[in-house]
Amino acid sequence: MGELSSGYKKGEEVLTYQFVEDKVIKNGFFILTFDNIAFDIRIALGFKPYGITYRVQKAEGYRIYTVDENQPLSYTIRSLMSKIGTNDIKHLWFCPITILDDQEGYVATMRTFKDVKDDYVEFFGPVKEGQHFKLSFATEKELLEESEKVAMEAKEVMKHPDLVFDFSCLARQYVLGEFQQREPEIYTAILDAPLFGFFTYGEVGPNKLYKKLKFYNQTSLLLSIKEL
Amino acid sequence: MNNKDIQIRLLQALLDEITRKYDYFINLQQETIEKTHEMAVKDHLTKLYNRMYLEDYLRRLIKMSKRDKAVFQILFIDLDNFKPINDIYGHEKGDQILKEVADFLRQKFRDYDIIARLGGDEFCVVLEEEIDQDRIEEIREEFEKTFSQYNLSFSYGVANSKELDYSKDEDNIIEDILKLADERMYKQKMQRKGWSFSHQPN
Repeated sequence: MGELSSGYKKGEEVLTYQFVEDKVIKNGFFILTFDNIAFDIRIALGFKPYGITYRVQKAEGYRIYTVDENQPLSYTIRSLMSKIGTNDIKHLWFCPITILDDQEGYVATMRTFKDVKDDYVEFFGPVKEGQHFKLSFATEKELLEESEKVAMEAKEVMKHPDLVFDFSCLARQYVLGEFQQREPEIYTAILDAPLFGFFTYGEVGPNKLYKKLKFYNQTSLLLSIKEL
Repeated sequence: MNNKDIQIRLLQALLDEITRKYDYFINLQQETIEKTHEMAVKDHLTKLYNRMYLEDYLRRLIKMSKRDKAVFQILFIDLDNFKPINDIYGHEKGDQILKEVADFLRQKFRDYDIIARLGGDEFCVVLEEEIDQDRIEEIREEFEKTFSQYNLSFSYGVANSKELDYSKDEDNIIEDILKLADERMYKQKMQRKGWSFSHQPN
């Protein structure tokens, strides 16, 4: 598993920083390995898809240009923002899109809104032409219930882990709002172990069969480890 | 605006979008149903009802008539001198004339009278009230004036539901009433033959 660490936005570029011993690495890639451990990985989501199903007609990388019959997605999303009464893209973090065709994930594959331009909508993850998606929604309570559920499942398997990692999406924290602190509190209380983690712009976790890695959005990845 | 306000507005916007899409699909479905129904019951060329719908309508009418003795009439119309129009002006013109004939019939009968094209230049009108012969003659006179350029006229036969044997099943009664009106139309056509076939389109 792995994460995209949050960082400092300089112009259009986001610089990330990693620390190793006495060095600071900019935009680096950091691998930490453990030997002789038992581990358990869980992913908490909590969002559910609602409403209209859209089909991606034209997409490139992290951007969707048109959906259905040549309908610019930016038009639909701007109309949605206008109805909410906002220009702040973060307000759309309450309603990430769920990719309906992607059934390989441990949880549903979501994409968080990053930007809306005149001719495209950009996400914090790749989207493909032909995919179907819906907007989704969750209350703070639903997110925390899901976090609690995965923590209970991890506890059932690991009993007494020595260390727990939590890598949680920044957009998820935004939705949690004043309840942000509750998620680490739940993990610590249930798993009764030291907790380490950070907020992310996308989470890399196992797929449903634990055979491939997948890129998730809006999730909380929980890794519990125990020395053998 | 706090998070709760944003969430509520967001849900309202989603609901609004769903409602809009739902209305769109309901309208589309309705249009498709109407179009499919239209294609199933109407004659493609004249947009009058087709034979299948006429028989279906008569079936229902006969059932009602069996129950409450309601009276209805069938007016069977066959155009005179139509064939030469096709021969002289071509089928496209012939089709155009048939459309104009359909418009004429729509104007001369009431909205709730069922007017059907049985095929070729044969038409049938179901009248739920009795019509007197003078009125039909008036209609024919107007028809001849309207289509004088083509020397077009029509022969007709009328059959009344009072003449039917209601002990038979609906399909046989339909066959009987159409046959009766057709035979009367044919008899009239023969009587008019000398007039009819002596004229050719200009």
